[in-house]
Amino acid sequence: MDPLPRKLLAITILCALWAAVVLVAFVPVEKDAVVGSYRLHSSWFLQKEARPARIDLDKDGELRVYADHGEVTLRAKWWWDAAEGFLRSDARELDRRIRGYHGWTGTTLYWRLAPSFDYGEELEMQRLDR
Amino acid sequence: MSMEGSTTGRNGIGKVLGGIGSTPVLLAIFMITLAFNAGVRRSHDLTWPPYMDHARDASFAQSILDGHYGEDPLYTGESMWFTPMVFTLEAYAVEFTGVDLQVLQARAGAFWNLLAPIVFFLLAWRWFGSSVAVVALAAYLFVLPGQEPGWAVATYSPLFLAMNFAQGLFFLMLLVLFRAFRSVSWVVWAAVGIGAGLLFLSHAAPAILIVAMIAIHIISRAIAAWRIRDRAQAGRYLLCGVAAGATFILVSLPLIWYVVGDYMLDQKDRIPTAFTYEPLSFRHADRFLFHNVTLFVAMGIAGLFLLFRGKRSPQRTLMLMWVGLTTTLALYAYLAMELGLKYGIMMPTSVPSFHFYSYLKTAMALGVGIAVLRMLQWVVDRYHGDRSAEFKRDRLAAMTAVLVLVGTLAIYPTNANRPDLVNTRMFSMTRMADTDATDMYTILRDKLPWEAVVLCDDELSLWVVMASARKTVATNASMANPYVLPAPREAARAQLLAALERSDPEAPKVLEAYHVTHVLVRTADIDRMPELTHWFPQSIHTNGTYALYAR
Repeated sequence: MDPLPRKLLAITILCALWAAVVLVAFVPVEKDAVVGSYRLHSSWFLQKEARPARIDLDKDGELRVYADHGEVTLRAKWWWDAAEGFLRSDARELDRRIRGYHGWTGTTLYWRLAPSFDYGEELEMQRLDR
Repeated sequence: MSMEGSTTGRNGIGKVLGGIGSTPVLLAIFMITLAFNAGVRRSHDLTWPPYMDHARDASFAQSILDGHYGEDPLYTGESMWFTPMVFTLEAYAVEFTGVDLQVLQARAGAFWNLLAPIVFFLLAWRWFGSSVAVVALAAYLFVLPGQEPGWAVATYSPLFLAMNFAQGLFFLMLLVLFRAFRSVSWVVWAAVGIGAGLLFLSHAAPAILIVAMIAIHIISRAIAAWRIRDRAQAGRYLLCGVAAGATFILVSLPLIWYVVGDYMLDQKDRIPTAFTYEPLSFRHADRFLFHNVTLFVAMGIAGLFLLFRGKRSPQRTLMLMWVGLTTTLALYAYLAMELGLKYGIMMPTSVPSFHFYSYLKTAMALGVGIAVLRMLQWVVDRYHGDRSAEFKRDRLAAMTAVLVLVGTLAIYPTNANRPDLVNTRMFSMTRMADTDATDMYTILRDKLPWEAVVLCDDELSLWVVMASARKTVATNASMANPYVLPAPREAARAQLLAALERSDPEAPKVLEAYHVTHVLVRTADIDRMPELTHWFPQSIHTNGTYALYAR
């Protein structure tokens, strides 16, 4: 193949890949994709911060947070802000604490360790019901 | 294997520009536009910037728009103290386009900050060749930030802050130094001084690094020439140093006229430099390790190690200085802060340690490029050892391109939704939701004269007053003029706010001392302030949340 068509082909492929990855990265996460039971991935290093043992996000809008021994430590209402990809809640400490985005393997949720947005350390939330 | 020009043999900016349309350039455009897309998507509809740093910058930009450059917009009678490049750009952009200052601050960073990845790519290509450059750019854009905030690590970010904008100028200055290190012409070094001065006007941290590199080079070369009794050469180096120093001082006069002329750099408020990005403190070592026990850092260190044990070259020297200075200055800044806070030992300080950490990690992105290329080179030699040099070069370039493309596609969804972009947007949206604060900010800016002094608490000074460039008694010490002692102002503010709740015969003296003309309070607090209308009888403006009164 001549250099020019080869270059045009390469540019076309790059443009197509660009559009594809942008589409995947910015697909809005819907509430149905978030409903489920989760536990947090552990980290070797982030051990000091308190964190729930399990979180249930029910379809009817109830959220339950569990301690290590299975006791429910918090019940609250939740709804999903699809535009921003954040879980909203009437419990102040959980409002916008969980966020999600769409990637190559589907929806991934993250739990922010600090209640505020100041610093961003997050742990991935692992589904228990799949 | 030589690191520079390791794959294509092409070097020099002219050849880089001549290579537009080549695979490395297409890949760079692919990656930079992807990063840009994520930045624009997270900022295109914001109408208020996220951080109090933006309010500080807005106050200085507003001071230019109000015709008061050189004055402290927050404290009466004090002088300008912050690096002026970014807020001056903001002021002139507002002047010429008519766009709202806060909208500009919230959205323009995505565009202005493109300078950083573009120049980083050119720098990496110039120093180490095109293949290292594409890998390093991928690492810089998509791997380096991880979960860290955009102000703490050097990467492309839509944040329009001096620390983000100055990265591009820092990389540009490294390219200039790369050329200048081979020169003993005072004209070249005078140009270097101009560049360093402009960088200093943008942000102090990268300017400190560049000035230190210049000083180390000039002094070491002059000493080396003196030792071999080549006095003429030593004299030429000294002349270069004088030329660079003189132009540096001349160009940076818009700042040093005030901080040296008015304050003699006597920093009385050490809180701004004592700020520590939490993962860089010993108390939060777990968080430091969380962010840094990574493949990126391991590869970065390995690449830098390979470079440093390789043959001598100007880029190796510059990288050694880059890594050595950032590490030393980050540790020094942290040590000075700890000694000051815990033992009262006051060592000279300049900028917080995280700025140097940020530039150290950028050096690691180049290290990643070097390490990955060395690995791919090994693979090519292992499986195609008997092929021609040209075949191996093409195979290496192809493998690099495929690796970078696949890696970028894999990581992009995570990177485009990283906490830095998402959380920063939430900060902006929280401030945008407080429309009463914006309404009051507009009143302060448009109705009050430049000389007005607004008494308010710490939070209101940051949330409402600061961006308007109207003065206050005391603001948060981390954003205040560091050449003014914060304690007396904070005590006066506390006394005056208390005088709104109970009678204080001393209040008039303090009101006069600080030229207080107005008070800003929350409407919810008015009931517990029976003395409010005694001191400030005139209601200027009230909305659902805030109320402004005048004396």
